[in-house]
Amino acid sequence: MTDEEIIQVINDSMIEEFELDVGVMLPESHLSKDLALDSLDFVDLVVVLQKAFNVKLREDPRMRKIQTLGDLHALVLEKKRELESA
Amino acid sequence: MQRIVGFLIVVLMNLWVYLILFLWTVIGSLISLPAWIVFRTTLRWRTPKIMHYFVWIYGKICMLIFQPFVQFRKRHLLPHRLPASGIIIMNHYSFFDTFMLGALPVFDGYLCLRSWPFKMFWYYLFIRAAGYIDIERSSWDTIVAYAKKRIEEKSYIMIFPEGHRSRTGNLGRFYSGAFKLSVELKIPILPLCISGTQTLLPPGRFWLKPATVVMEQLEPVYSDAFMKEDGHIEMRKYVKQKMAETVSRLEKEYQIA
Repeated sequence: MTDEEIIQVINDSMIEEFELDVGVMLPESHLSKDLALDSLDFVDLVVVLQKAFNVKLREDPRMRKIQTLGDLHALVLEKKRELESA
Repeated sequence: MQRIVGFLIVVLMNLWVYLILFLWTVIGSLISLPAWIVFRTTLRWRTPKIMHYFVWIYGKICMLIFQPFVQFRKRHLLPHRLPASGIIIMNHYSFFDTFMLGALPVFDGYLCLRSWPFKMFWYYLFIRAAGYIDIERSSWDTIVAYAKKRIEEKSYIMIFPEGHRSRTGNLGRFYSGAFKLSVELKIPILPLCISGTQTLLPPGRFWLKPATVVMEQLEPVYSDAFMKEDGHIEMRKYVKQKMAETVSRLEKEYQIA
């Protein structure tokens, strides 16, 4: 998958899971303030991403630093590259 | 002519409801302290239980105040349909939804609220006395411990899973908290569907309109079927679908726009 395709899958998964509007899925959108995700949603988000990409994010300390959708895209892309190079 | 009559009814409704509601709120507030003393000394109920009873009665009287202009229809709101405790969840269309909890067959329920009511001085005392929890400021562990204690006391937890009033006329997204609690503590979700309050007073409008408000209690949903890892997500989706179907059916049946 290309990076753009991965980003699209992330966005589509989140739109479906959290019933988000397509218009708010911008890289600069803040996950809490703009997408209204609460702390439990972050737990569910890890499950969603695990199912979509088979990446383990639950124990990844980088998840705690995620603020925006762009941060999330970057982390998933990084994890995918780590898996591919392993 | 019909439009003029309709307009006059709306004016009359707003004058009647807001005035009587204000008076009832003032009277209710003034008598709450002496009433608390009576309940505490005679029935020896805990303060939160006394406050839940007052809130329930307040809601019942509010519904009576609305009644010349609002038709209330209740389905399956019967004591024997509810287990001894659980998590009552309700969809959320209007500011007045919490008043409709006066229609429930049980009163000893702890509301899980967002932070904003705690910042309003006229709510704060009653909310604190009622033992409601601010879920935005509480950690997950605190919320679980709180819910566990309430269930042990045979009380109910009450949550609006959408977190805020729907502005679209459809059910908004459901947050996972209620379902995660249900699975973690193995207590049932008790879905309560409401419709019509969005006609009465939707978000963004301050004047009331006559309406038909219908409430239907669904069968309890037990967490047994959702005990796998992250089963709360499946439970959330299942319950939301059931509630959406029920609300849609009720709106067709009662012609609620």
